[in-house]
Amino acid sequence: MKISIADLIKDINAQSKKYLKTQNYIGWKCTYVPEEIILAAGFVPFRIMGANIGISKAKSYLQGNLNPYTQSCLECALNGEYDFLKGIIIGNSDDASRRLLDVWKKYLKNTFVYLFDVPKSMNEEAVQRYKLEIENLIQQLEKTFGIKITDASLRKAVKTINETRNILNSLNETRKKNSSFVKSSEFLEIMKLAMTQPKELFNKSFGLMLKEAVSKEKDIDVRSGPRILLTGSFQNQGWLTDIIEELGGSVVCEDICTRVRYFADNVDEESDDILLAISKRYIHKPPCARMVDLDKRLKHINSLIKEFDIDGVIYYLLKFDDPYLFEFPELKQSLRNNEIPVLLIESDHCLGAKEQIKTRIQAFLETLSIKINTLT
Amino acid sequence: MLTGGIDVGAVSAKAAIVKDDELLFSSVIPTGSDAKKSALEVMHMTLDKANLAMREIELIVATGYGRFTIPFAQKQVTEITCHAKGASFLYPDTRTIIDMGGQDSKAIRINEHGEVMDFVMNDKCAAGTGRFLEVMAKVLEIDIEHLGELSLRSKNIINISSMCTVFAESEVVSLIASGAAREDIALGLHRAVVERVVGMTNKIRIAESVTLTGGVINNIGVVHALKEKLEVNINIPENPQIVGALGAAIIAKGYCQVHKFDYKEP
Repeated sequence: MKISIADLIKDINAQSKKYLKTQNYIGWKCTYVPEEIILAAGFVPFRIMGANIGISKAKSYLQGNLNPYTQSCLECALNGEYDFLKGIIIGNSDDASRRLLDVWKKYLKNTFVYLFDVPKSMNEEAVQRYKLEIENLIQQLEKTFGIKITDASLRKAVKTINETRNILNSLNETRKKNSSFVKSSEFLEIMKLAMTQPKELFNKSFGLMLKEAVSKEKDIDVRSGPRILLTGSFQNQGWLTDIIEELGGSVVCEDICTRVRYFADNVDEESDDILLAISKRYIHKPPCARMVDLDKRLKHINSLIKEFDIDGVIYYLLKFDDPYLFEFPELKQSLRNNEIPVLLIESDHCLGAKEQIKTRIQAFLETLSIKINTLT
Repeated sequence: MLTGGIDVGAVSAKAAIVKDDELLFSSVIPTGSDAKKSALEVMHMTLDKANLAMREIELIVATGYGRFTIPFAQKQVTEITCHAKGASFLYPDTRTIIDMGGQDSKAIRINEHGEVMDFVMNDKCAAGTGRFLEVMAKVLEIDIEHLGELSLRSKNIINISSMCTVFAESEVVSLIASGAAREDIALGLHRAVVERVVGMTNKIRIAESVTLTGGVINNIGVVHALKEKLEVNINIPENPQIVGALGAAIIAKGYCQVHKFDYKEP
C-alpha cells in the first residue's frame, strides 16, 4: 500500500493536539537559536513563524521598512497567539529581530524574553563566542524557571534533535531520484510539525512511518520538468513552490531556513564537551546570508546544485530582508558564471500579484526547458 | 504552413498570422473588459484580412496576460519567450529587447537563436509603463497619441523626480501650477520613464543590437529619449505592438514541425 504524505501529516497533527495542553513551550525565532538547550531545560521548542495575514496592529509598534515576516510574528503575538509560550528566544539575526525583541519585552507578557546573540563569522573564535552565549542562556533559564540543565539532559536533547534532523534529511534525499514522492508544500507542512511539535512525538510516530515510506520510494526514478533549487529568505507558505510545480517545474531542494538550513549537519553526540559540540554545529552549519562568509554559502549552494542535479535556481527575496538583497547580485553572477540560470522573485510574504509572478516563473521554466530540450 | 499568434495584453489584443517564414497579416484592438471576446475579435479580423478561415490555421499559440483564457489557442507561452522569438525573427542581430507595454516593462537578453538567456520585469507598480504615461497625459489634458510629438517641441529640461504614478501626478500638478510649459513637462515625463526602464535593462547588461517592442514604442518622445540614453544600435519595428503575437505564431510553427496537432472547433 502506498503511504500518502498528506495522511501522515493529518495523523501527527491529531496526536499533537493532545500534547499542547500538557506541555510547556518556549518559542524561538532564527535557526541559530540552539533548540537543544530549550529541550534540555524541559520545554518544547516552538518556532514562531507568523502567518499569512495582513499587518495592522504591528504597524503601530514597528516601522514599515522591516521585513514582513518579522512584522507578521509580532502581529500574531499581539493577537495573543503566542500567549501560551513560557518564553521566547530571538536570534540576533538582523535589525528587524532586535526591534521585535524590544517590542516583545515591553508589551507582551511571556515570562522569559531573551535575545540570543550570534556571531557573524564562521571560525574558531566564533565557536568559542557562541559557547559563551549558550552558557549565559543556560544560566538565565535556570534562574528564571528554578531548574537545572544537566550534562545528561543536554546529551539526551542532542540525541533527540539529531534524530529529527536525520528523519528530515532522509526525506530530502529521496528527491535526488524521485521528484514526485513529496511535494515541496507537503515537505513544508512536515517541517512545521518538526519545528513546533514535541520532538519525541515527531520522531516516534512520524519517523517510523516515514522511514518505511522512504525505503520504498527512494530508488524509484521519477523525473519530470526542470529541477529547481529554491534559495533565499525565510518562507513558511507553499504558494510559490505550488506555482512552480503547477507550471511544470520540480522543486527538489530548498536551501532556506525552513528546510535544508534547519536540518543540515548534526551535533557530535560523542564529544566530551557537549556545549562545544553544539556550538560547532550551529556555527559551521550551511550559512544564511546574515553570516558574512559568502564563499561558504556559494560552495554550499553549488554542492546542492550538483547533488540534486539542478537545472535552475529560484531566489526568493522577502521585501526589506536586507542581508539577502545585498548578497543577491554577487550570488547571481557567480551562479551564472557556472551557467546556472537564476530567477529573482520578490515578495511581501503573502501572495499578491499572482499573475505577474506566474509569468516570470513560466518564462523562466521555458528558458530552462529550451536548455534541457523538453519544450517541444 | 499557416500558424497564428495571439497576444492579449493589459491594454490591447494583438493577432498575427504567419505563412512559412513570412508574416501575412496582423491586427491590434483594445482589450477592453472582456479578454475572451476581444481575442476572438482580433483573430477574426486578421483572418478576414488574409481571407482565411480559422480551421485553415494549423496551430495558434496564445501569450500575454490573457493567455490562459483563450479557447481557440492550443498552447500558452509567456510573452517573454514570444517577444524574444518575434524580435529575433525581424532583426536576427537582436541581443537585447526592451518591451514597453501597458502594464509591464521588460528587458530580455537573447542569444543568436532567439532563446532567452535572462530577463527582468518591473515590479507591481505602474511606474515606467504605458499606464503611467496615460495617467499623465490625462493630467496634461492631451491625447496620449500626441504626447510624444508635444515633447519634441520642448526647449527646457524639467526633471520629474518621483516615479511613483501617484506622486508623479501631484508633481506634474504643481509644475502646471508654477507655469511650466506642457511640452517641457511631457519631455520630463518621457525621460523619467526611460530612466527607469534603462536602469532595469542594465541589470541584465545591454548587448547590441537592441530591439524595441510594445505599444509605448509608438510614442516618438519615448523613442527619442531611449536613443539619447542608450547610445547603441537600436532597431524599431514598423509595428512594435505585434512583435509578441508574431513570436507566438513563429513558436506555433516550431511546435507543428515537431508534433502533429488536431484542430478542434472552439
